[in-house]
Amino acid sequence: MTQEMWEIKRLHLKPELVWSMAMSSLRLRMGRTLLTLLTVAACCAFLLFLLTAPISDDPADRQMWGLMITLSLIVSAAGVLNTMLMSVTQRYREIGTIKCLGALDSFVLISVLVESAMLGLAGAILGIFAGLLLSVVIGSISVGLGVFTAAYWSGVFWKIGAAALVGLCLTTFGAALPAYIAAKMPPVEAMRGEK
Amino acid sequence: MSTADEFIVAKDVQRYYASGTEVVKALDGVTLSVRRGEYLSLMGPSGSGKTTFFNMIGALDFPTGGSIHLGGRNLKQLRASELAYLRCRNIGYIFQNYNLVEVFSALRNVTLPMRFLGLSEAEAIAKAEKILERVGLGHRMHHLPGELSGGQQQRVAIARALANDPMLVLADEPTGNLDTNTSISIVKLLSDLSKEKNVTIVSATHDHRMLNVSDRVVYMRDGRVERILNRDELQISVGSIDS
Repeated sequence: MTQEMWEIKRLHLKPELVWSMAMSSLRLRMGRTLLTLLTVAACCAFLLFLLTAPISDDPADRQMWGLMITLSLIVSAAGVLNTMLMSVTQRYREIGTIKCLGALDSFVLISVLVESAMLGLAGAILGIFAGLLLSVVIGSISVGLGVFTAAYWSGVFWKIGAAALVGLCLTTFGAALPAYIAAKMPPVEAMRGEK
Repeated sequence: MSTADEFIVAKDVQRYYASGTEVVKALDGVTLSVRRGEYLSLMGPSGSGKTTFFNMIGALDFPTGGSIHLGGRNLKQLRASELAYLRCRNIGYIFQNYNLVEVFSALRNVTLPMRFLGLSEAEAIAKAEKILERVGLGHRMHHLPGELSGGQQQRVAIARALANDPMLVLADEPTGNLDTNTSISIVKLLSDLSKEKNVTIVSATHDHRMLNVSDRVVYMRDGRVERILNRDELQISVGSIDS
């Protein structure tokens, strides 16, 4: 009679289930979602603004600008990573629970990554628009109508790409480590982990 | 290793935790067998080790020493994928704090284990609706856990535990957070379902109301089994102690 319980079958990792888990989580934790979204957007916007803003050819100025970009990246990275870390660690209990229901480690990991990537992507898009707007406004103050010339915007596409990539990577990597740890934990520890 | 009578076999199970420089012996040599279809209650004060033992049987945590065999297999030797399948297909869990997935409706909480097992969404929903109706929640299945009362959430948890027709249902203090009337209805529901579906139920509890429906009661103290009473002995002792 107990033989049948050991006819192990492969459990299913259904993409639509991963998607619905990620989306429900984003929708129902709207406050946290918006907060993270704004953090990522602010990070991308600031980075893009720094990359596109006009700077003089003076090496000292350029050096200062480079330093500002690096510092701002570190500050925003720390903010985004911390937000993602908090958002995953606060869900250890839920992760433990779905593992009790038969979630594979890969399901846990992938659904958290999909959720974070969606957040990262949305934040990056918002941030890019905000960053470009900021660039136009600030740029028009310093160079006037020059801000609408093609020369001003040289290399803008790779700068947009870089800002988007930073946003996406920060959210995904920020969530990846705690999600991996939670996925590998015995369920009872994960359920206790929230405390 | 196991006979039909011995569905769960725990041998000299120990679970030690390091707490600073001290070692806490949550379980200190528990030996116990559970028959298929049995309703077993684990009683004991807080810290007696019943929840720890419950976690061990449910493959949610693993012993420091000794072994637990479920259906003839040593739980410690299972691979991660086998454990996931075991938890999904053969064990249903009910917790004191319900542990529902907050972002999913009652219905989707119940369909989740079925979906992991491979049922299509339509099949899972049809089956989940039946189970939710059976536990008396047919009218609230589209509500989120946060919109349900404690008793209703525990009913969802029971429905979810039964989703894949498990052989074993583990209930850790299922009435711990509920008022008297709700507790009585939850105990009755568990007991009725165990008879209907012939599932083995192991329940860790403080609640004396759960004794009447149990086939055996295991009293634990300080990480050990203090005594085991069968149902017939139980009626007498409950009467004499509690009256």
